[in-house]
Amino acid sequence: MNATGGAAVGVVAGALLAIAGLWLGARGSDAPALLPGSTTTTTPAALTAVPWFDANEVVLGSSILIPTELTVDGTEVTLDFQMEDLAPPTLGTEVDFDTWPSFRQRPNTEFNLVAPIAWTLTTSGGVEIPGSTANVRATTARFSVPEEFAASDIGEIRLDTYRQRVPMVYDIDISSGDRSANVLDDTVSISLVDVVEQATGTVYRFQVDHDPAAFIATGLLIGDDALLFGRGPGWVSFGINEDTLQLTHESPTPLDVVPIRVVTSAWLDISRPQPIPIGGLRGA
Amino acid sequence: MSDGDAFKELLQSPVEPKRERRTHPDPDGRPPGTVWAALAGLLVGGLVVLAGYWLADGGDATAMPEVTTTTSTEPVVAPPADIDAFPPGYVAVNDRSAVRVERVLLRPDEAIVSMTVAVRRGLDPEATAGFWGGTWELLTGDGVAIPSEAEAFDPLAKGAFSVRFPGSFTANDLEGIRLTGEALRTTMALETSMADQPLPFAEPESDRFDLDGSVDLVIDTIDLQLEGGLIEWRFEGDDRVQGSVLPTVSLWTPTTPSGFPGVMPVRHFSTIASVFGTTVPAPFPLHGDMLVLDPTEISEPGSINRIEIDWAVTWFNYIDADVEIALGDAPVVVVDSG
Repeated sequence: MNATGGAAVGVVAGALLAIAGLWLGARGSDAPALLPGSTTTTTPAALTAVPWFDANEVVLGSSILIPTELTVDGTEVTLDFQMEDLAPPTLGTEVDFDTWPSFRQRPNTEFNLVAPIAWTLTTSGGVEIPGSTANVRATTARFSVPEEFAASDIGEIRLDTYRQRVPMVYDIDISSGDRSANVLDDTVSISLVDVVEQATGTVYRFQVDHDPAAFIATGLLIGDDALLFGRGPGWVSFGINEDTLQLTHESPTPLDVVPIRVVTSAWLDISRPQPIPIGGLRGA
Repeated sequence: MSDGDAFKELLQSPVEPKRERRTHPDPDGRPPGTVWAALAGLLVGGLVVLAGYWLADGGDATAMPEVTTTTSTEPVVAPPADIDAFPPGYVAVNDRSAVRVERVLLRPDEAIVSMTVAVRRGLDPEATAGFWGGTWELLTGDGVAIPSEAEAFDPLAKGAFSVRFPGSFTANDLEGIRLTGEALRTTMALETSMADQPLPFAEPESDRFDLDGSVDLVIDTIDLQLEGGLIEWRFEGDDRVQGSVLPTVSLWTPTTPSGFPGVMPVRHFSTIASVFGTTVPAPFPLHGDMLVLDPTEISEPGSINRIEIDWAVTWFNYIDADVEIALGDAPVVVVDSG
């Protein structure tokens, strides 16, 4: 049905209501209790489960998930969804890579800020079937189901875990003789890999390591995933040397302890199981 | 329109296209406009109901008060404000946004609390003024409140931020966090020009700019040499005010083609460490800073006869706040440094 058809139905319904109104009016003065104004009494109980935008959307961190299509194809059930932000603008600037020299590879930033990853499909018989999403850019959940599985066999679908991308800031003091990996987070570590003494200062070279599974959407450019700041006075320059980030301090004598601040982003796995409203998708 | 609405409207860039929000399909597969068309039809029908009643009632005006007194579109019982305005678990930090703690990371000498942000129901997220953070306290079980030291924002992690608290903690120490000051961000562009001025140039006295009547930007040092330079600035008037000052130093010569002055590169080293990545982070707000300038790259440094400095000033006033936020069911992750 198109919009015009919808309007037609609405007008027909309105006309029926109009007839009802005429009938009500004809009944006399006891009718006002049934007027439209008196039918707006709301049911507070319905407000205890207020959806964010509407009942077909699920709030996940700073985004909402909108299920769009449910398909059964052989031994696979797929649930397609969209992600929309609830987040206002933030500080900082996204680099416009369209204006950068062509030798700089454009990073792949087409990911969602919130990424569902682990799902459960419960059959009408109560059997739970795990499902997954391929990566932080994917918008399809997939479930392997037995042969001859039908849409009517789907009881409910639940999202168990999602990832939320969050900025992180760490302050760390590294001994200038320490070449070991210093753990910053459960997926990030930093190493001081080299100290180069020069006549006008000392260069400190660092390597930041991320768990690839946690950063599958970025990391095409060195420096994408971490920014380094030297804390305290005396820092005079920064740069990139091969695969390391380097900071230069004005003191030609190496510092005993190198105080730095690391700014990066991490994907947090968040387990807050949520039922997905698929009622409207059945039979689609 | 309230002042608040006008303020939010101003914050939307006129060159930014209005975001079209995608919609989910109707359960019956109808296009989105169908429902609205039907509702419009019902509205028309509803009006006809009223008209029908009025006509059938002989147009007696005395019936109207009964209609108006019984018509209400307001809920009989108002929903809880927080549930209605924000998603579950979010705590309002101002009139338009709310935050929720997503994770606490405990390192040997710091705690990092990560939160997400959601805008008030009914507001367009992209047209709503952002939440720029603020000053925080980490609340411990023994009644001690630890002030925050730094916040992290990232355009590619929009909707989330982290706050760092110094100290050594265990999961049992933590009670929650408190927003004690909400950051109000203001930006201003200033320009200074020194005509008939060659290099080197050293400003003999401090320069002072009144930013908002209560805060001054004080430039204590402008020392420009062919071999490099130094600029020192600070905010004065309110010890809590922090921000960043990003100067662009243009050097003009009589032979410089119009529109192409020489530029003396400024290293915003203490505020921006790197621009090699996907994003340029917001500078860490400071109360004052020292900026190092590189040697001039102009082709005829001896003929410089005018110096212009454009100052991009951003500062944060902190509005007193007292919003306590529980950690809720956010996981506490502990890592060792080694």
